[in-house]
Amino acid sequence: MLFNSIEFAIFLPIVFLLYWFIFNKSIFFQNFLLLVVSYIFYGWWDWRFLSLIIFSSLVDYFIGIKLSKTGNQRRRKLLLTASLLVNLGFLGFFKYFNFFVDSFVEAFTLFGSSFEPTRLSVILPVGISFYTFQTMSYTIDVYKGKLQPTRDIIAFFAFVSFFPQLVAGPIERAKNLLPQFSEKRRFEYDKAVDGLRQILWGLFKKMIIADNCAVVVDEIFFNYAEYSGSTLLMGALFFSFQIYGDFSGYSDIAIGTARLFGFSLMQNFAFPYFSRDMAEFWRRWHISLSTWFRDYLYIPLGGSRGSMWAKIRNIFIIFIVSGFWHGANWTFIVWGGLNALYFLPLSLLNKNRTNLDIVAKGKYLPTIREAFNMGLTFGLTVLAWVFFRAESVTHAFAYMGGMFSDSLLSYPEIVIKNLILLLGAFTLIEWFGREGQYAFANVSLLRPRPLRWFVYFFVIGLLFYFKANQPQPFVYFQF
Amino acid sequence: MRKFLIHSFLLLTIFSATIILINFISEEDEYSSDYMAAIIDKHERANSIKEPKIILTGGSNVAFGIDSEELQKAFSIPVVNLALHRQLGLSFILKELKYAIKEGDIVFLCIEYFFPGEGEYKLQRHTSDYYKEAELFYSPNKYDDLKLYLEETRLKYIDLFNSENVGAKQGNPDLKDSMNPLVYSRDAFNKYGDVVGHLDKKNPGFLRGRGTVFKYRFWEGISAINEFYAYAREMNVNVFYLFPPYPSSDFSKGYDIISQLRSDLNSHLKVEILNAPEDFVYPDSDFFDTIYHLNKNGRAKRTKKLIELIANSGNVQEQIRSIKSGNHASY
Repeated sequence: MLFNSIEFAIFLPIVFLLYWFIFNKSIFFQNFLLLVVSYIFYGWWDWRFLSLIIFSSLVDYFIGIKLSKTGNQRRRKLLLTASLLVNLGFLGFFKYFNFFVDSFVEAFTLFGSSFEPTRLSVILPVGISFYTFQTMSYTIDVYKGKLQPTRDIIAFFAFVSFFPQLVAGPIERAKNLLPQFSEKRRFEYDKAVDGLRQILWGLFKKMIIADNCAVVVDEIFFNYAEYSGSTLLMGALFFSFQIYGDFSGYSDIAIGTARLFGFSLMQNFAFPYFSRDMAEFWRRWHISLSTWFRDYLYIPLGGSRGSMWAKIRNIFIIFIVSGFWHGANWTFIVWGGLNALYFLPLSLLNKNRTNLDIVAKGKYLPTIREAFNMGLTFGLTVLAWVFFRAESVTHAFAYMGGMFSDSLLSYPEIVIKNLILLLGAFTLIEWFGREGQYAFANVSLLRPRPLRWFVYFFVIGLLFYFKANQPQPFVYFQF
Repeated sequence: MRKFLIHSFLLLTIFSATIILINFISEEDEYSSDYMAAIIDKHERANSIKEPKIILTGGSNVAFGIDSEELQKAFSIPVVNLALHRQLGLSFILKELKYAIKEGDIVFLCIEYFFPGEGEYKLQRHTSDYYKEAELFYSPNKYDDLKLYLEETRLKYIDLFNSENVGAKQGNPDLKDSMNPLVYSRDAFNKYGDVVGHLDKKNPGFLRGRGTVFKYRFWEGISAINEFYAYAREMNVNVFYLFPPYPSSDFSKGYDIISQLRSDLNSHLKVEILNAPEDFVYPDSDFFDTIYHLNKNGRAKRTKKLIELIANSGNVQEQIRSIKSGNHASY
């Protein structure tokens, strides 16, 4: 079920009413309802995928309990390995099997041999990378003794499959989300209204910004050979807005929806395009994934400690694995590698924690230096996005070649004034709202109430007016 | 919670009222020039002809690519072209035929390759917006109707501001030209039900659907047509099948799959097939804007060939003779 669908617009109020009026007698009932509706939400795509999530939840639930019962380190390691094997096994099988087979064949072809491999015709289960990481965080935290395992199977299953963030995050840590399933939830008016406001803003980002950009981006990336460098640059810029609007829009809807049910999810995007260096960008982009890799991969590998070579190795590992997490394609690996290259000098010069606060805090405008740094960081990000969007590495290089050709300074063939104006207005709203959890949160400060309501209706009107003719599925669903 | 529910209810009420208001303000004219509204005229003609007639149907290849007037002149039997759109689906088209046929009629079914069975709900609903009886040709459902209602309201809302939205502007401009309202309009049809609005238009320079790659499957349409055929025979109506027109460059690419489909049709279709796929294969320059839409030249060639095929078919000739003699016997 897509967030930007009529199905969801019907589903959400029904679940909300059931949750607060019928199943509000106990936490157990509410969790049970959340579990059932989450499975309906997920099964809406393909009910067969439910078996994977149920199996994964079962394995981690029992391994969690077993871990708490044994002090034998060897046995604990074995249990953790079993959990990781099951989860990563599913991920590897459904997401990466064909990639490895193809890469293997290509490697052999290079050496002059060729053969017909067995390829799997399996569909990638929606959101498998998200819930797999979420459930793994539980087992790892229990293993490390950072979290007590839960014995409440319904709460655990509901935690793994919690529908607002099930298919595209934020990837919640068990430490943050699981305890919320054991606490009594009280309805809070302000939280619920804020949730609805964030949902509205998420829909704006997805349906207006991302979907409208997607149409132009698809056209330009598909027919890149026919366009000038300036148009290709515009395609890359539009994709930067598309991916941000799409993914952060999804996160906003997820966080807002969870708030309606009394849950707090972590912030997943903190205005990343206003970053002054790549380290700051990575603290602000897909925060739940970056921190997951930081805590469960980078730090266990040694992090920034150790020799310079170990530092370099760790940075490349985390960025390349992060790229590979996005998809079984060399483009994502190159994208990860490129970001590692961007990040490396900052880390080696110990300048990766220079810009911790949001830019120009408390001010209307940035300084010239800040503006320059933001522009540079954004430019580097845009270049990396070309690899992320391209169909293959060859496509990405050809696109880059076309972009940095003589025609880069020519007048672009595709200029959609409405879209450019929209993106300009969107950037301004984001800029002025950058100190909040999300840009639209500031609307709550507007007085009197009719003015606020006018703004809500205005945004709904914009959704109606500028909604792209072809709604696009969320890009991150494929991951 | 009470406050939240009251506010949500209020917001929803204002929102619903706005939707109703938009629909009220944008009340449509009684006469619609929408392409799908041509179904009214087609059925009006079919109903007005009391004697046995020739009914042509299929996807838009039939609407764009046959000169019914020529056919009528050639055989002195009234002709109705019922075809509108491929995406209405085979099920819709066959149910429409069941509704339209009368004793003694001859039906020529010219179906695009691997024609979809069920079709698009949006288009089907459109037809019944204009022609109430079309509800019999598909299964209306309230849920999809609600989705369409909201989408239509959205379009009306955009119309209110007399502008296009960004998404609408992003199509290929050439393509948008070819979707010219003079061609894709009820007014583009002649009295027989043929699209003629495109005949004097220049080809847009490309064909939509080009590069279509067929994937072989046993086409489920065969059993649907056989079932219709059984019904038609009870009504003393004769049915003949025709392969559609196709551009030569694409035909060679899809030849193997088309041959497999042809072999399946020959073995399983109970309806007589009048032509071979090659009969309606023409140079790309004979097509208008899609791989199934013939232009003026292509349409003339195809009509001539169709007349020839009919003239050479003993069974069709026998049927035509019996219509003319007033003895509508089925062969």
